[in-house]
Amino acid sequence: MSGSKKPTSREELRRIEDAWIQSILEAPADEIRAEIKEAGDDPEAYIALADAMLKQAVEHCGRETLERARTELRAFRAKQPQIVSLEQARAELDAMKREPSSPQMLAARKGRGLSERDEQALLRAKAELKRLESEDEKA
Amino acid sequence: LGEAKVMEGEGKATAEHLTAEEVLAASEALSPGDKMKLMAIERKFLGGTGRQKGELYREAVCRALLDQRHCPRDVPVIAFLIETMRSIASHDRERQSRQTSLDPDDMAMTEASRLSPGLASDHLDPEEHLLAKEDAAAADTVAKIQGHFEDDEECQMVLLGWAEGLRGKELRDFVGVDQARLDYLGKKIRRKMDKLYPNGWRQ
Repeated sequence: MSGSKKPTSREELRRIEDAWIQSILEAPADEIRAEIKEAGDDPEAYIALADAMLKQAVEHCGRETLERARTELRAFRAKQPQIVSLEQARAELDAMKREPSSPQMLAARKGRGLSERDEQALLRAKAELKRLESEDEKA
Repeated sequence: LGEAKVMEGEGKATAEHLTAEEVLAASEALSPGDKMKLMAIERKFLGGTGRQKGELYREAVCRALLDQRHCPRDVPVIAFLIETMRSIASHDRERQSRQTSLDPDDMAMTEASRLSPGLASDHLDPEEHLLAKEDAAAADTVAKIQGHFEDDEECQMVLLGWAEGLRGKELRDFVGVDQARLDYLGKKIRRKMDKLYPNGWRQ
């Protein structure tokens, strides 16, 4: 016997299944072929099905891998222009500050001028605008 | 770019495991006889999964190609695919069983069982309860399988030996037959089981 501890029923069933599978694997192919026919199935259809499923798996995984790569590329691109445009936006904002006739600066003068928060918000808005413009150009 | 090229870089070459490309190459190189056996074995796992023929095999290959399952280098690919199919099938059944346990009728039954004094499940947590339920079902199935061979003492002995995990000489000694006779008995059991449980015994 394999051990002193009595196996659970689940273990017993699993072992019976293991032996059943092993017996199929170890049997001569002709014997299994005959048994499949006896059960009313076509052994050649089994082989064709295995080939078809393998082909489908390769195609499916190829598409999935490609889709993953596309998603990663999109995420990468979405980040890239924004960083460049922030610098551009800052340069434009500085130029705007130096130009007193700029509409934004005129509006600001009516109040107390642009706060740090306003300036950051304006920078982000301009950067986002640049990014969208850049995406439109690429499209 | 071919499909194989698309998957380049997915396979992580390790000393212990085959790469995705190696699993694919080995699967493609299986003999027609092995493919036939693989599909015959797949059928034994289909019961209770809700899947069609071939789907477990396709899923097993996908898991390997997408690096979700790794085939140890010292394990034949056919054995790796069989184990992966069995594992996928088991998870399928588990998921379906969990969905069933969320069914209001089933919940009501569980509640009623919990409130009934004297039931074994009184002191069990849900996980233990599930295992106890599975064990009872397994015991029932083992008894049924044995019952199909009640007029054949030798086959019953082989089944008892299988259930104990005996193989080769240990099994021959246990049953008291030579290898040729053991092969014959194994075939006899297999043919009967194939008829009784074409999609395996799990529902």
